[in-house]
Amino acid sequence: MEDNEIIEFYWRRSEQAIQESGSKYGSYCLSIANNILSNLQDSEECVNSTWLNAWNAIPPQRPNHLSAFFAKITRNLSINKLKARTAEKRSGNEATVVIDELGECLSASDNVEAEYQGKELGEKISQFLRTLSERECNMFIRRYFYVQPVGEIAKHYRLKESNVLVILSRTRKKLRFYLQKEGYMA
Amino acid sequence: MNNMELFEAIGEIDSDLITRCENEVVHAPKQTWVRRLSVAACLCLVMLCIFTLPIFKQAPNTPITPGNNSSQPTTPNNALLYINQLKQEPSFQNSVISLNVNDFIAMTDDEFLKYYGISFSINRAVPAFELQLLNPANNNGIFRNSSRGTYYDSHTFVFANAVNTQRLEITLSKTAYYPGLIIGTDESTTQLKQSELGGFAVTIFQYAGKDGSTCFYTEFLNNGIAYCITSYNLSQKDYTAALSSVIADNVNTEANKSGAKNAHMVTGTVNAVDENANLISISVGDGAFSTLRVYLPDGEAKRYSVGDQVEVSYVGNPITICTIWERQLKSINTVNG
Repeated sequence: MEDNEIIEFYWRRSEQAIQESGSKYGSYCLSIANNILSNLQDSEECVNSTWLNAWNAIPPQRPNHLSAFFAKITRNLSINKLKARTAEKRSGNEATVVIDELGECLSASDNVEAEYQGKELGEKISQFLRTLSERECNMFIRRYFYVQPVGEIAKHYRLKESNVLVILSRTRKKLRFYLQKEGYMA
Repeated sequence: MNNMELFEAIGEIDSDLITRCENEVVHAPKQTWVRRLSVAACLCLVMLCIFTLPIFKQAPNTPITPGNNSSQPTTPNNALLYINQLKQEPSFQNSVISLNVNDFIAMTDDEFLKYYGISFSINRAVPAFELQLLNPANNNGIFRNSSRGTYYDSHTFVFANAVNTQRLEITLSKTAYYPGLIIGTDESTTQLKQSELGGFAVTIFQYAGKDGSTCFYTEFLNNGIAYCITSYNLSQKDYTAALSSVIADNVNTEANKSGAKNAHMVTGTVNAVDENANLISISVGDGAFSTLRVYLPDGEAKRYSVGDQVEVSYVGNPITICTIWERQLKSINTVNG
């Protein structure tokens, strides 16, 4: 089924919207959630909540990129669940590693409270990503948006894991400079 | 801003970037070494490492019996067949060898056959298959100079049906050649099993190609020649027939009459250690193919250092493989303490 047909079901408030979303994007969203949570049961809950969130958001929204729309919702829900979980106990899963890696983009003094809008920062990161080659950009998204393991990324690009790690490290360094330049860091 | 906030903000990146990433197509690497090499205007490259992290996991070995419920392998036509199943398409190692364009000597397929001293009658085993003409643009040939002798001579013969939906690629080399298959060792203690075709021991792998097609892969050494034989979309029967034909035409089966199921010992000097891959490489001293890769149990590679003399006991024929997988390893001991 085409994305615009699924969106139409949402707009018509037809429950088929949720069935079709699950059928087309269920496993896609489940893999995103599971990359972050490393727990199938929690991941399934996030995916189910994704359709509910989409139901509440459409209308009024009419996403141009439905898969990315679902991906973002799933990712946010999964992060929230991860936060709740890690508040109890540090989990040590792939997401924890990814979040630690992102610390390299920040200076020590940035771990203080700073006023920023997530959306605005997201836009800046998008601008930064557009300065990269398509492969660097996609590799960054695979790692830090989808939270894919490095081995999986290496396999996708037919590279050694060490090569992927080097590329990601350089990209993080570039992001750090970019964020400094844009005034997000001291 | 902290790490988590940055991680969350990445969730707000533009949707078109995410969609572009989802739809990304990664082009498959070209199949032959020479094709890769011909792209390079300057062929003076640096020898990198011989190690690559093993990123693929093996499924337990499965003898190909009806329903896979018997411990006995099938034995069609003087063959003892075991197929080692790979969960995913394997990747192949990228060793980069220092080449000088001035040393290049172009060769045709016929010249390559004479050079290796071999012949093929694949179309008797798989009648639909014909040897595919070389693409002249690929600059097929070998690299030789007076000081290094012939130092690169890998070449791929491609056999395919008329519509190129089924293919068999045979890559050969007489000079130092590291077999390309990268394979993990961490899932099972089951031994990697070797088949015997025409009395010759080979290790056969099966995996699903990108389009879901059935693929087989075998690598072995004989008479100083490394063979890597890969099929695409070929049935097991046809692959076995083609492989048997290559063996019957070219392989000296007397060279490994000791059998694939026996234990063997090799002594060598450690020349590289990769702790991450649980892998050491040892020089075994003689012949063109003087390096063996030995996969070790988790955490054991760090016990070895370059220069150590080791005795390795393993199951499988020493001349049919350049890699001793963990599953084949029986014991390893440092000789020089």
